Amino acid sequence: MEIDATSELGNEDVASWVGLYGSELYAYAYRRIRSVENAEDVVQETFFAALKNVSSFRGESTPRTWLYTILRSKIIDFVRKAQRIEVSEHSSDDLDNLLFDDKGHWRSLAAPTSWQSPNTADPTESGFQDYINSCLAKLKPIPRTLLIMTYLDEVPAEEIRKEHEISASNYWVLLHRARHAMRLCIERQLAKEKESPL
Amino acid sequence: MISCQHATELMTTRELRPLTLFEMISLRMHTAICSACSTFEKQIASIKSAIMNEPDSVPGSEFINALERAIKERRL
Repeated sequence: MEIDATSELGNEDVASWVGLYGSELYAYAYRRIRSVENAEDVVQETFFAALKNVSSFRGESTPRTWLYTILRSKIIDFVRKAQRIEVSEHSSDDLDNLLFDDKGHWRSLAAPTSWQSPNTADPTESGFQDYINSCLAKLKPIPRTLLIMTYLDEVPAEEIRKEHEISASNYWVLLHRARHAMRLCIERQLAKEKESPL
Repeated sequence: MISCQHATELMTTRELRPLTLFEMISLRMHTAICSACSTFEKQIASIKSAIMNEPDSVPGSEFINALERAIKERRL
């Protein structure tokens, strides 16, 4: 979109950006937050902030790039607000105790066994995707976003960690717990499916 | 021989940095003989690829329309 740097931008311009970029900004936010309501909130905040600061937008970047910059900072704000981190370096103890004995061997009930469900044969299959989403929804916002952003791998892990002001060891702990929690959650969903076949 | 707990820890570390040669060999030797951990590794990988391949979601048109209206009406 061409921007005439000499003309004043106003409500109509920002409103037209909603039509042009609203959907992709929403998709970007949803991918990271995985909640319709929260993704709508950050996108709305992004456009309100854009409107408020539109006079400082001089067309040095494209409106799209500028909106993405605002959106990214809104996502970080959202995750920070959603949960003040209370993770100590030892907080994975409970999970470790649940999964492993004191020698570090899997406890017999916790040991992973093969997922022999037709739904999991192909991870891109929609049934499995539904389990993934419902299990992601059960994670707290910070571990959820960290896990997703680490996996999407668009931004170096080190940068994600610094943006969220998380220490390297807490980042590792959060990621590690989230991975175990996701696997356990999926396994439980599959067990339920076995009990009550459609 | 490293423990199962340590093996799963190395798998997490691998997401954040490349493992050292020693770590890599320790992990490979463990998963080669431990079926629980090699199953764990496969399951974690399938979760990762499902998260990465999540199709883009589309916002409700109601949301976009309402936001457009709100922006037009909001005073600068």
